[in-house]
Amino acid sequence: MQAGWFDRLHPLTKLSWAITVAIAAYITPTPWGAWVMMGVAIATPLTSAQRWPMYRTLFGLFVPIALSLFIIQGLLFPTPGYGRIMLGSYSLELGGLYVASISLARIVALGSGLLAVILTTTPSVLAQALAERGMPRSIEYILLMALQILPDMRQRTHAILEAQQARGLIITALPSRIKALIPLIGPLVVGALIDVEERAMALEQRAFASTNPPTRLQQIVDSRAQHIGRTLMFLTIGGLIIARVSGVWS
Amino acid sequence: MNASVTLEHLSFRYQRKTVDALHDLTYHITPQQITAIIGPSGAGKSTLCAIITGFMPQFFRGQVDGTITVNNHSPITSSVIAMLPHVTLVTSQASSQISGVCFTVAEEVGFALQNLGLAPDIIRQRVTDALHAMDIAHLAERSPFALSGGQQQRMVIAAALALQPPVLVFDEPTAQLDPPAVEALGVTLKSLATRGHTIIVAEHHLDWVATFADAVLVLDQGQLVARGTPSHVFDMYPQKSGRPYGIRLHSYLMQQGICAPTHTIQTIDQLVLTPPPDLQPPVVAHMAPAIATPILQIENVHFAYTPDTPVLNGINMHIGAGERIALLGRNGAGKSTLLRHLNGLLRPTTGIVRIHDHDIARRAPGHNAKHVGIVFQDVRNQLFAATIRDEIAFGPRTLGLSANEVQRRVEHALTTCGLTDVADIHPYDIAPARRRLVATAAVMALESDILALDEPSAGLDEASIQQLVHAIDDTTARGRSVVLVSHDLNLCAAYTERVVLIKAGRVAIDSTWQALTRAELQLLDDEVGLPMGHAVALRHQIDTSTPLGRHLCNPMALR
Repeated sequence: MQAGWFDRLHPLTKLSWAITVAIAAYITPTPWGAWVMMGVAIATPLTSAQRWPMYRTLFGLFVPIALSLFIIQGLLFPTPGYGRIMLGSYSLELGGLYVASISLARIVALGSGLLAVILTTTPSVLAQALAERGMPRSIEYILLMALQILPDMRQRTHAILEAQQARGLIITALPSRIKALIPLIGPLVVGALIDVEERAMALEQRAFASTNPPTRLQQIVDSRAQHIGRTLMFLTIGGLIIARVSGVWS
Repeated sequence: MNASVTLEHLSFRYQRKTVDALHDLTYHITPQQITAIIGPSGAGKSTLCAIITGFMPQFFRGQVDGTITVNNHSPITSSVIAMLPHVTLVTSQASSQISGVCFTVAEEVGFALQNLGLAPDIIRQRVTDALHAMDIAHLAERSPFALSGGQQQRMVIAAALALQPPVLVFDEPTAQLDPPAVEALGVTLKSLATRGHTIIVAEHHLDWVATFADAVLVLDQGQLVARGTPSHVFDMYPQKSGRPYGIRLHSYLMQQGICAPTHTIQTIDQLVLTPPPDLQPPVVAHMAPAIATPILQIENVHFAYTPDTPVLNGINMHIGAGERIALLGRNGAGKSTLLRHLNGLLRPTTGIVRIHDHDIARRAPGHNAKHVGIVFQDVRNQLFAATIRDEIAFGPRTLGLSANEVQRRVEHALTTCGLTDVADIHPYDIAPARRRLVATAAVMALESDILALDEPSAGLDEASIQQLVHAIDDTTARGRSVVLVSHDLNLCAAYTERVVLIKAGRVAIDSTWQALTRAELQLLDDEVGLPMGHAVALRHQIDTSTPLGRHLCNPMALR
């Protein structure tokens, strides 16, 4: 599949875009700001080859949130003066629906911007982009390791649960679950500590502590236009924050 | 490449220890050969591997005396990174050697090369070559964490190969591998030695050493106690080196007059059978009752983790009181899934598992532990207590037994597994091989009707295996059953009487070792390989029901 315009952007440009859209949605004082930013965020996938996976994920993620927000706010948010819609024996507060729409717009702007970055950028490319901008290698390692280690830890936890059940551990009622904590957490912690030594040996063997600049197999393309774009986005964020904090825009 | 390793009066003592881990070693490791380092757990094998690769005294602190040179460089005065162009180390726990920062196998294999700052084209070429050398090119884009244990082991070896060091050091490389992978590893290392690499392997698998090593060093308590060719060491120093199954079988056949005496036997392929015409069959004592009362029944069990990936496809079998069963099958055949059905950790999609005529799925797995206890392969998932005694007491206590009964069971398990001398120390303060015995003792103390052991002999030295066998004997002598899931076919043939082969989620063979037909032997060989005697019988087309066949398949021949 050929990469789309958004896919080809430098990871930091994409990240800056997602952050700008999210902050703008939250910081602009008028509802229109949030709604416009939501529209911009929703339109972003159109420029990506991943647009349909993105829209499927957006739909699955935000439709339940939207329904919950509108139902809860519409039913429970008292807004005198806004009027209401009667649905049989239930009444929906128009003011509640209005507040729900602003909340939803902000959540969608934040979520879909970040989703666009996540679905079009591999973690290693993002970490490489940050490392090329001066982030220490140790932080790069921790970031990537954290992403990989979570599924591994989940599998490990399951294996520990099985091993302890196979020798009589019962975890049905609450008291037995509390008693089970030590035999379940103990092997996880001890195993992790042992892994640290072995993984440290492995990293030594992989020349992680080398003082040579590491070779990057993937070239991340940047451009002057993107650089200017990122600068403008950061200026925009700064301007919005100053305007909001100083009371110019309230 | 013509890199040698020379030790001269080399000693090493870990910081805060009072005894040398290595003591006064002098030896010259010949280039372009496979040199095996063998000896009991705690003999100093791993320490020697680590010192050769530059981990001492910078990474593991301690006092080094004497000298060592690797490809004319001293690993004592150089860092691990400085030694990487000359030597690299692969340890047994492949999952712990994954860097954790690479998202594909290809990235992982090239990670060290990237860190060393090599040119991209060189990295790509070396990664491709290493992946092909280890036959994992098809896995290049997979996540390292999504591989099986054997595949992970091949990946970390590929990562070592990509560095192209003249000396490669392997610390128990076969511990996580199944028999075909063990064989393949031997062939690969032979090929590397032929291409000029110097290979050093610390290993418990004596038959692998006898087959593939060119030279053997035997360490005991940090000292070099024997050295020479494998046949010389195993023939002349069996008390120090241990005895490979091939040599045990050969000795037995010589005693029976079936095989000519020779001191040059290295592998089973060299056996020449000359049975006397009046050969009588051996008298084999039955290890279990002829008709064992079934205590666990598995009836038409199907299981799938997801609807489109069935794992068990109609398993039918039973386990009788006092039986010893070897549960065999390729990786992915469904052995581990079946094992988890024995105590209700997994519940059948359809079918039923009954223990004493009760549906096992109706109770929580913890409640089933008094009927079926399982020791899983990775004992790190089990051990948590401050002392070995407390670790063993945990199971009986969860069963709600009285303090006296808990104490009785703990003492019995400690004695049976040979752990009395270390009962009051932390499980992680003893050698890994004995740690596996702690895990076994902890489940033995449940005194379950069935004791299931998943790869119990992986990484165990000879003494620990004998202790394990003693524990198995004790269990079955009390009318309880033992199920062994193991890649060690010789251990299975020597100490179990029944063999169950799982193939594609079904029971493909359910027989005694002695009653296997030629077709069953062939199937077993195709799936998981054969124990030594059975392999000879199949290769020489000897009917296992004849006196000669019975001798070859006699479990005593492997003990």
